[in-house]
Amino acid sequence: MRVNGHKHNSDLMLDRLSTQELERLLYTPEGEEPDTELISDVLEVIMAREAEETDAPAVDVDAAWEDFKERCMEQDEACALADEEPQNKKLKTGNHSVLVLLRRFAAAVAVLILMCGTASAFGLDIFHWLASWTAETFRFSGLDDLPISQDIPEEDPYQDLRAAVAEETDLPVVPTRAPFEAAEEVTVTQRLDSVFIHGEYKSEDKEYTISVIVYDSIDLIGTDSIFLKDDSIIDRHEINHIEHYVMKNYDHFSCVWHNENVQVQIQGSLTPEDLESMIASVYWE
Amino acid sequence: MRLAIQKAGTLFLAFLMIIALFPTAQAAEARASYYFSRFEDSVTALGNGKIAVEFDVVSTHTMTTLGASTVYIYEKQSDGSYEKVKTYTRATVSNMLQSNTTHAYCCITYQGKAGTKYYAVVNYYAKDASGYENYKCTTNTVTA
Repeated sequence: MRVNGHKHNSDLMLDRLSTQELERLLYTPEGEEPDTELISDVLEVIMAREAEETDAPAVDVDAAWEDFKERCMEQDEACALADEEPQNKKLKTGNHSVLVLLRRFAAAVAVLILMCGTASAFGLDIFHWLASWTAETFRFSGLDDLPISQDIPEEDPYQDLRAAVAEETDLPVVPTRAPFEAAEEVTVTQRLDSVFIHGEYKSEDKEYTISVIVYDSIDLIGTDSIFLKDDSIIDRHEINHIEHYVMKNYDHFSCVWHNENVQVQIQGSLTPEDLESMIASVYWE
Repeated sequence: MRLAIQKAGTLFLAFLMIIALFPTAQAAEARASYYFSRFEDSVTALGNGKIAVEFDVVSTHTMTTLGASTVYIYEKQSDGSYEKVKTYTRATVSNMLQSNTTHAYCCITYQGKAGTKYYAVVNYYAKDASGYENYKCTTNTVTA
């Protein structure tokens, strides 16, 4: 329901509209100028209604409880159970406590569900935390989560990439472990403020890439780069005081991190476990 | 003492509920793609009114065609608005689209007016045997 031009409250008979209809009037389509006077009138009506709702008479709890007890006693007498009154009273008090406890429990569960739903937007996985807490031992995600096997392959699967990166930086950024045997093809692109070294690794049915971008300055890191991901949780792994972010982009997983002025992305037909072992192998000595 | 604990608990729950309310908007920012994995684009002032538009794209797997279908350059006008002053396509810049690759890079230079502000819009494009996808990115603004 859209009203063109300003009309006074009385003209529109805003009081007759439901709050939902009034809220619809507040919507201004993109590109149109909002009718500030109409919005003001609508808000006035909505606020008046809200004030009416909150002005409901306060309940006198003590008086209500006394009244309730009286009614119960009367009922008990009518049922010839007056001699059992103390016991009944105790029982009623007990029921009241249970009700309060149940309400508190429900509130706590509601807050927990709300947090779980929204905290994921920050990349926090509360269920993952809970799982960690309920495990036999507790530990933060980090090096301990990663494979400790150091079966360094005899032949370097990233020979060309390592050589190209070594031309630009001494920092450890190239993995040692490969998830599967693949043909390597490396390209080096000189950009205005950085060097982009891109390795493609292809087998018959799977492929992945490793991109190493060496910036002229650490200030340039991440300012213009966008990594695509779906709305699943980002998994963080801290190794050597460097945060590595494992994320999902539909059916592809990628891992992104930076070490000083070098940004690295590994992505493709890889599982999170592949990525975790690959990033751990960057730091094998 | 019990009352104080109850009050503290109530305050804590209220605090958690307030925190829980606002981050949902950020989740909406996430965008996934079957084709694209990483973008990087920028405009750099080269001096004497000349600017360079650079873009870089990494795809999720090998694409038959990868790069940008169009690049628009916008110039700030005297009334404060921005106007499109140049359009680049594959017809004018041959390496804007590349074949059978997972990575495409291109750098375009434009002679602007010294002291004037510019930005670019890059329309990324990726195509494989099963289809294609476009993705529009707007660069930073620089003074030429």
